[in-house]
Amino acid sequence: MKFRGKMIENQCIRQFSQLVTLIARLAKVCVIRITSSKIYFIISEMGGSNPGMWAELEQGHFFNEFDMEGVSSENNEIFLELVPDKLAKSLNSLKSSQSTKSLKIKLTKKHSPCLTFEIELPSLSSRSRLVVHDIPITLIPRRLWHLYQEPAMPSYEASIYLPPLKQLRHVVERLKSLSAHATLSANHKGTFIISVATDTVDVSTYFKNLAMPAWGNNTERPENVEDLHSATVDIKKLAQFLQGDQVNPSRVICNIHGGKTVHLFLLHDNITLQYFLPAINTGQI
Amino acid sequence: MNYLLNQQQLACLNAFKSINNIDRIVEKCRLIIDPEEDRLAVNMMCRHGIHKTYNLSFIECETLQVVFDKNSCKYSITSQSRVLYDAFINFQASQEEVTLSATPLKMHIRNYVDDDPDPAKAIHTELTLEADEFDSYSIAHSCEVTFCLKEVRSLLSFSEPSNLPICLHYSNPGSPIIFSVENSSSFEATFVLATLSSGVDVSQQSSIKAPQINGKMSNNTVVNGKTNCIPSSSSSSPNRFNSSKGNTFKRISDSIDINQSYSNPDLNNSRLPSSQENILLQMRNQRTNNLDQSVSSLQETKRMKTSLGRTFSNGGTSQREPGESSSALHEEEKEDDYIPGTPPAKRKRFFFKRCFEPTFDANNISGFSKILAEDSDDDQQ
Repeated sequence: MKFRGKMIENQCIRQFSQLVTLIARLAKVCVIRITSSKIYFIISEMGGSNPGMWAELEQGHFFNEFDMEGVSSENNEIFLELVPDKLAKSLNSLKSSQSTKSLKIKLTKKHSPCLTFEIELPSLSSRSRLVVHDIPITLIPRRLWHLYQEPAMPSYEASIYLPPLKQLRHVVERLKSLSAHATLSANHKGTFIISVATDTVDVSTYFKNLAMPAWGNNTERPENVEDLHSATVDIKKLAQFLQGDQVNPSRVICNIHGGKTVHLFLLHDNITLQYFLPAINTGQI
Repeated sequence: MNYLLNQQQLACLNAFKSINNIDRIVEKCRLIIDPEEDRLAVNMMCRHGIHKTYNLSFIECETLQVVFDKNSCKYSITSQSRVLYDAFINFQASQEEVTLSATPLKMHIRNYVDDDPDPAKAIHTELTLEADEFDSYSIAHSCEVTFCLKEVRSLLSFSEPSNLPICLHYSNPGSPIIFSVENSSSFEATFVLATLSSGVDVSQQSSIKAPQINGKMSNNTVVNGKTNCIPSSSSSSPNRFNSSKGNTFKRISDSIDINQSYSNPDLNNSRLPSSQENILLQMRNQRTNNLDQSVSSLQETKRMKTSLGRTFSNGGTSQREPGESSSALHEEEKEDDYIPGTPPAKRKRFFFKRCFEPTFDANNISGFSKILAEDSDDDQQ
């Protein structure tokens, strides 16, 4: 089993570190799946009560050099688990003003299996400075791989392109202090509503005339176009996710399955990120 | 003449709090030391005729003279602040200690991983710098030293904006590493940091001869006699380091302060505690004032407790604590020259257990009813 990849483009390195920072905010433990074409970051839902995340990176775009050998020739993949927080802190230096010359990621075994990040930084002398971070990981045995498969696209009742994440983020930040849960609703007319209900006040923010993605099977829905489909989710988790507007997605799709899940789909040129927020049954509609 | 500002209030910081605004607001600043009133006055003359004065009380004291000699250090490196600043940014903000390992050609900086939490689970970071990145680099053989990064970061945040070069001097592990910055016309700053000595036993600490505390303290019966200076360090593993001089310095002042407020109330504008409860409350506040629990303040507290026992309980020994601490006191006086390492924080809880219990009621302690000084403002009249 081996893995070795090298990134040279500054923009790619920065995107990568932003993605890692976002993931670090979302969960304590993250699984990385390496295949010959893609790298996946997986946060497991653990029984459906916690939010789950699935991110895919096109290896070809990010890495200039990429070489991997999986567990065996039939299963040419590597699954490993690490603590994203540690990784994010180490990559913090990549965000500072100094430009990075290159980032090399390798699977190594120092006193324990590690993912080694070698960062080459510019320096005053002829040769570059080299920073090496060894992040300890645990390799996931093949028998557990089925736990980390791509989640099926959930059946949804409403699907909508969200307004710019920055706007949403500001709204949610304000609503966070009112209540622990927020209700997200959407209909087929292009309206998206975030609302919070407390004992003293109900606050709703309406986004109208939004575009809707055209999934193939959606056009035959006979229901009333104005019907709202809602799900109530944990507002903190939603807020954490929305801080990922750093990744600068080109589009974000929100699929709501009333009362069950909210599925947020960030589309970007070379990264797709799916975030599943389970709905909370608050007893209210 | 050496002066020490009252550490408890961190008043000095208050005066210079908004450093960014100071440029725009303050026109002139005058510092006046008033030895009679034991006061440092900071007069800021600001724009629009505003005049701000901060009066900071201080305590005259003996300072420890740190014994070091930059020029006798084996290895020295001079570097631009920016180089070190950029280097240390690669380490996590919470990283306490780093190991500097220099060979004649390169310098490696590694984060120091404690054995306590599992070393296999910790991130290891290593940075390599070439020798020609430095202004001067005289390393004859390979050597490595481990020191506290936090202190260096504060030095760098000071020197980096002024773009001054920093000189490092060090010898073997165990000897201090000296960072110095100077702007020849204005100032010179020297940071002497302890380094980890390899394979040192926790119980064998090098001793520091305890200085006499003079000045206002002499008429205070409690502090008359030797005060032990306990090596302490801000790092998480205090026992392994030789004294970090700045911190030891601080400890003496904190310990003096307790007694100061006890015996000379006028100085700090605090009333003489008229009951034992007040003194214990003060001690408790002292504890919660974010002090590292170093032995010196602990021992001072113990001594205070002893004297309290004597004063307030008419020689009665209804409390457990005075008995214990007075024997500890005798023990300490015998072992002047030997300063033990910082005891675990559990000890303070053990000795003062009763005070920390939620059911503690000062009324239950004998001698509580004996009032030595009446309330100055008696509300009941």
